[in-house]
Amino acid sequence: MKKERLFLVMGMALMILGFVSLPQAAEPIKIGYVHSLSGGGSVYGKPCLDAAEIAAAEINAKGGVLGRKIEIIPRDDKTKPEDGLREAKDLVLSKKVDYLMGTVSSAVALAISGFAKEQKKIFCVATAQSTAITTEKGHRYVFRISTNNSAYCRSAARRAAELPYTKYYLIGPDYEYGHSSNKEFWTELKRLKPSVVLVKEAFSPLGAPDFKPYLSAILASGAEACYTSHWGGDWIAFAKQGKAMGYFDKIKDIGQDHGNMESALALGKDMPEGILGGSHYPFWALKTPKSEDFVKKFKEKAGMYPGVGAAGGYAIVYSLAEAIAKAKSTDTEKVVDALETVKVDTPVGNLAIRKIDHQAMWPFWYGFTKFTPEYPNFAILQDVKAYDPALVYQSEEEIKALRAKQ
Amino acid sequence: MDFSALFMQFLSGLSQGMLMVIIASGLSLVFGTMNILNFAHGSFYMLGAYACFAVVTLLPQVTGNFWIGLLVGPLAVAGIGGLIERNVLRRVYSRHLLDQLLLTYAFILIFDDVVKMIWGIDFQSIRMPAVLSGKLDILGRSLPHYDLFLILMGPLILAGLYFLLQKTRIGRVMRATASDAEMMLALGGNVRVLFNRVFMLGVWLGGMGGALISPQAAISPGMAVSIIVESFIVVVIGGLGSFWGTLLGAFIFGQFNAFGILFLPRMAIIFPFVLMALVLIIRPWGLLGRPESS
Repeated sequence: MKKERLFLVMGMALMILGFVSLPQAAEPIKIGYVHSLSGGGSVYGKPCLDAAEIAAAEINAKGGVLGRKIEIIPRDDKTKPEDGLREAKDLVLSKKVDYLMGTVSSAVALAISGFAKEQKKIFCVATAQSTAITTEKGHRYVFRISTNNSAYCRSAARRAAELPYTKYYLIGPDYEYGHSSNKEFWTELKRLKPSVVLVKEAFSPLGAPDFKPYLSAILASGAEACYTSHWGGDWIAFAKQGKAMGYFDKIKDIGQDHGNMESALALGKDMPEGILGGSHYPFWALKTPKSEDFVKKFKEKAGMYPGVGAAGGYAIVYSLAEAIAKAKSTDTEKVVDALETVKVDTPVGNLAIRKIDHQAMWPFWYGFTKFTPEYPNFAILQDVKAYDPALVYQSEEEIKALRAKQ
Repeated sequence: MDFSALFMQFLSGLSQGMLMVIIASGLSLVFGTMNILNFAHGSFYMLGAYACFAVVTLLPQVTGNFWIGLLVGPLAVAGIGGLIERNVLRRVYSRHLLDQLLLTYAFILIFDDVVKMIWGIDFQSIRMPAVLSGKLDILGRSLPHYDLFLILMGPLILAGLYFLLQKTRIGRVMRATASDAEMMLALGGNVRVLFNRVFMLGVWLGGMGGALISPQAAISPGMAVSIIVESFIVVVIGGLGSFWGTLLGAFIFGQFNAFGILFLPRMAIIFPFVLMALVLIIRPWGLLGRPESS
């Protein structure tokens, strides 16, 4: 009896203390972070989290937003839609997070996006690139503050159209991404420069170790240039075997992953020079104070240079903070309206988010690989150029047509 | 299309085939002698690549570190294979084939995770050894020295294997065991030790394949899966357990793949599978294999 009463008193005391302490320390604004923190996708997920935490720390050091601190609660989606969805549900329902961000896998992004729509929670996609997330499957509560697949294929096509080559070979990994990338690139190039000819197109099995038969076939095809949508291990094997064969001296190779930090570091000195590659964030060329400051802080925290994952994580936290400040509220509906109109200063420049598809107008740069004394361990892209995002992201008409087909 | 392009495509296919023959003959040897279908063979190939990478990164300043890796790496992997045979595989010889497959499949998952724990998930890479980084000019086209080396390594290792099987005592015992293990046991042969050595040799061949490809490819935890499929195609075409069949299967596989890519690149991926399906329909025991006698 006595014990029970003691517990009752203690419980009441705690409740009172709880109520009393509320107005003193304002509840933090919670951002649920769901991303690949283990497995292959963590190459993107971990740097993205580091960068998001840098942004939160910067904002909190200046007093937070509306007097409240930003808190990031990270969860691992293991690059699986079921896991991602479960973590997102737990974050929203039991951790009571205000917003969701993250994912590199487009399948995970779509799973969480569906849940966000149902719950009316803002979900900012950080790294996943499938255009469908913001076009066919887009809705009021999903945003993407990164590039998308169509932007980098079309940027490649614009840059390629300025080069003197007309005979093209296309090659890519044999799954949806490879096929759709090659199609997107070719459709745009053909539109911009009708004189181009498609010599041949090939697809290799994902993870194939041997690219020599492909390389010798491209060399024999009479093509002048080759568009390669390979990435990761496929691109590394392709580059090493191609370099040994002298392939890159004879064919102008073009690809979105050729300027990617992760590939550049893995290839090191084996990176062929003079090929046309893409980058989401060419920090070596963007000499703005914002970018230089971010690179410095990121190197201190993560021990490496920032790639696509990092820049996205940083930009999302700032975009949310700006929108909350502008809306003067953390209310979802008001923040959605504010996100559609804010312009956020990020390492890649001033970013606006388009109202029609909630896609950030994030530029995508192309340049030619080159070794420089400043970065002795990897090749950078020189002569980088990005196009007006309005030219490389799908137009409003295209998006409306895609949505009408749904 | 001129002759030089066709010849180059032939050499590309040959280089791929000769690498495949090294890997697939390990799979075939283990099946032929021990009647075990080793699904984890691709993992030993992956471990061979990582072992070679480990040696190269441990001895960064030593010239010829790649060659040390090529020598030591596959031997270390063979040692791991020997331990697995002795402690795990031995227990399932009398079980159903499905149990063996499940067990060896489990090793793929285990090794993938072990590799991730040691080397992480990043793509690793070894530089081409300096002596072989040049290229040979043939009819105005160039063949990397390293591919020439691969084309020579296949027959060289195969010749060594042939010598071992045909001309040495252990080879005779192996062949005798392959044709009738029970009789061998009745005659007082130490089948246990023999199986262990055969498995180690098979694993060594897989590891050797991985070490040989390592300067040309990305070393990553996922590399086991694609190679095991290709190895199966090779041994099914040639005949599971057949020595010359594996060579023929690997040669045909390389050429089919290379010329498929040259002429019909969009559909090239299915050629090896179509070939395998045809062989399975017409000669289910493979081109040079022997039909299972009742």
